[in-house]
Amino acid sequence: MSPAYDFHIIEDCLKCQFREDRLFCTLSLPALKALQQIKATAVYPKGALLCLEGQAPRGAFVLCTGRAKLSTTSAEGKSIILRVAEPGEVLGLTAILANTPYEATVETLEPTQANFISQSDFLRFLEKYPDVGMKVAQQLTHNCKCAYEEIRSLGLSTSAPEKIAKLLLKWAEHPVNVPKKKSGEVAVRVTLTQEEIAQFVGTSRETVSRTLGDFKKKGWLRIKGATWHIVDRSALEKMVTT
Amino acid sequence: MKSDLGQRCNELYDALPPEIRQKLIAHETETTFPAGTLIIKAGVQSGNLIIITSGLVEISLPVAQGAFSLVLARTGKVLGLRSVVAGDLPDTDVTTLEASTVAMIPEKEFIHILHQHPQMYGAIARVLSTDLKMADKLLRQLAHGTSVKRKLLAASC
Repeated sequence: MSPAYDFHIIEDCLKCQFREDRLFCTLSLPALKALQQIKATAVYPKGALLCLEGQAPRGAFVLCTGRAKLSTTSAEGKSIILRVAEPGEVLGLTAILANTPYEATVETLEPTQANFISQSDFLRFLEKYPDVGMKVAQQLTHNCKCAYEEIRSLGLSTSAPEKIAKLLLKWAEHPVNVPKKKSGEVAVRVTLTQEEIAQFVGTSRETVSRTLGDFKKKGWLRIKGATWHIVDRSALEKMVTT
Repeated sequence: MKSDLGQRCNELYDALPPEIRQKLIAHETETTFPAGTLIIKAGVQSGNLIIITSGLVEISLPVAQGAFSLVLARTGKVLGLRSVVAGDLPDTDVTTLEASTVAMIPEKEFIHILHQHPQMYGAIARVLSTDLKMADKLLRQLAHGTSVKRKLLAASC
């Protein structure tokens, strides 16, 4: 019987074929064995909430497969996506290290395996294995750099089309291989809805729809389901002034 | 004079055992800067871990036409840790707002002690976590359109 969603659950961290590619998971053998003991394997469908902004910290989630969006909601109820977490990231680190509430709501964007480690187990794990501390430090460094980049982008992009162009160019850094791709095009897989893209760039869904329509009309972009083809990358680059 | 050997408090030392604190303190040199001194410049490797021992500094993120003020930091703040640990160039500027005394530990010595005591990474992670929270807070404010202190540089052209 084939697994649901064609999803292969990784039960054993020691046998994980993706380990070498993942930021957190390239640990020493003793640390990996300990991780295997303390983690609880869990699989979530698209749209599942792993933790809520403001919720007391319970533990950390190691994202094994799938992606998740980190969002925050203002007092007025406006939601903003802070970033999209990729496989190999540990989520909830700042909350469990400082014992403060989770700073963002984490929602899966696709079927996801996220292994849960309780706060007390994670803190013991961190203290006992120096390489875990090193990986955590590396990830926090990476996240901090991403946050600064996002601040520069949010603070300086003057128009919604510019922000959307910037987002498309960012996605174009991680192209996917598709069979019917034309020469010079960059194909990317987009699992965000227009509403979510709007939350990402801080605009309305209507503006996203209008902007994407404009990009398509100008021949800069082709959209086929979840596969988007960036046809004229240089045109998008010209829109981005910062 | 390092009279309080091993007892000095800052966000990094607080989470370290006394023997490691003593090793780090042995490499500290203290310097006092007048108000308005740029002690860390974004994009320029300082070569030191810097600990504020007295005074007040502003940490800001330079952008194309000015800078966003991230936080005002006082005694006990550790600066430049990300650059020292990850080898990245600093993203932020740090400017003294009043006469401030800092303790500096050369990057080379810090890394040497870190290699001897890799358990320091746990304490480092806690400091980096605080820095990330600070960046995320500003990101959240910007995303929600909350007023953010932004220092615009005088137009020069």
